[in-house]
Amino acid sequence: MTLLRGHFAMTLIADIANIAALKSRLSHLDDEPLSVLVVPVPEAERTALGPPQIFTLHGSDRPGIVQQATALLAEFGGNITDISTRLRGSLYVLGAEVEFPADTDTSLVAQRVDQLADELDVVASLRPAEEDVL
Amino acid sequence: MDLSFELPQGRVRPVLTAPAKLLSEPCPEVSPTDPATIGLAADLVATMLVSPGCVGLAANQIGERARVFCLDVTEHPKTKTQHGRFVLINPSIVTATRKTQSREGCMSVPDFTGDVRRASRLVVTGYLPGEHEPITITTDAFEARAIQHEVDHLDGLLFLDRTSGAHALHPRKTYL
Repeated sequence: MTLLRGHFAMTLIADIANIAALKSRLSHLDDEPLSVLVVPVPEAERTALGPPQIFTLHGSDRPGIVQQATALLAEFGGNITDISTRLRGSLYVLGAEVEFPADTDTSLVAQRVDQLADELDVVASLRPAEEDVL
Repeated sequence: MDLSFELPQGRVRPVLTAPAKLLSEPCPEVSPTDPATIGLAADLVATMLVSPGCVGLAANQIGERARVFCLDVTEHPKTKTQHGRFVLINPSIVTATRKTQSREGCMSVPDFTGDVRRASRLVVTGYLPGEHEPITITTDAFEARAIQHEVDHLDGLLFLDRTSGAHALHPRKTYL
């Protein structure tokens, strides 16, 4: 749930038996200035995952940053499990938690993140999330 | 350890804010005895002292590419060990242990604060202004955090590069 350039946006994953009924219940929103899309989520293949990574990016705001950053993470099979963005003045900041398949060379991903940061003229990094196991 | 030093009257300088390029570039080492370095040290202290709530400032925050920062956490409530007001030149972290998470802000990122994990026990070396021999500072708690924050600046890193998760960044609140 976030604001994208002033537009409210939200994605929910829910376990619903009757999708057709849900669509029907939501149909009245077609008359509102809202776009609502209900689609079935395919059963995901179970992939062994490596430790979670933190992706951060900050710099001057411009269109396309999220698209290029998420495309790069997806190229390596990254699954973004959490993301937030902030814009204040000209400073844009993105933070995300990403899980990659266990056999991913995350140092290679980090190198590509450095390259992307240079291309976008921003600062970006990928590093392991620090966890305390108690 | 006495880290007090005599500095000339410094000049208050404007503080750069992100996304200024200089804040993301590593700073080179400089001579601790160069008069220009000592002048920079004085400017850092003068700028820190007129900035409300400021406990530390790195050279690139005032537009200088030099591995120098000033610090004074004396009045901060989270401070345990402290070394008063000092300037450290060419700092290098020797050991950093016992990480804890805390929320920190920065004059160069005035609109946000962030949750950052940093070592709470720290050993750092560097030079005092005008000195030829390096010193070693052993500290903890808030002074340790503040030193790591400043050394990060000199390495071209902001706390934005250290936040601990997707929701570790917060709008900065102003209390009247």
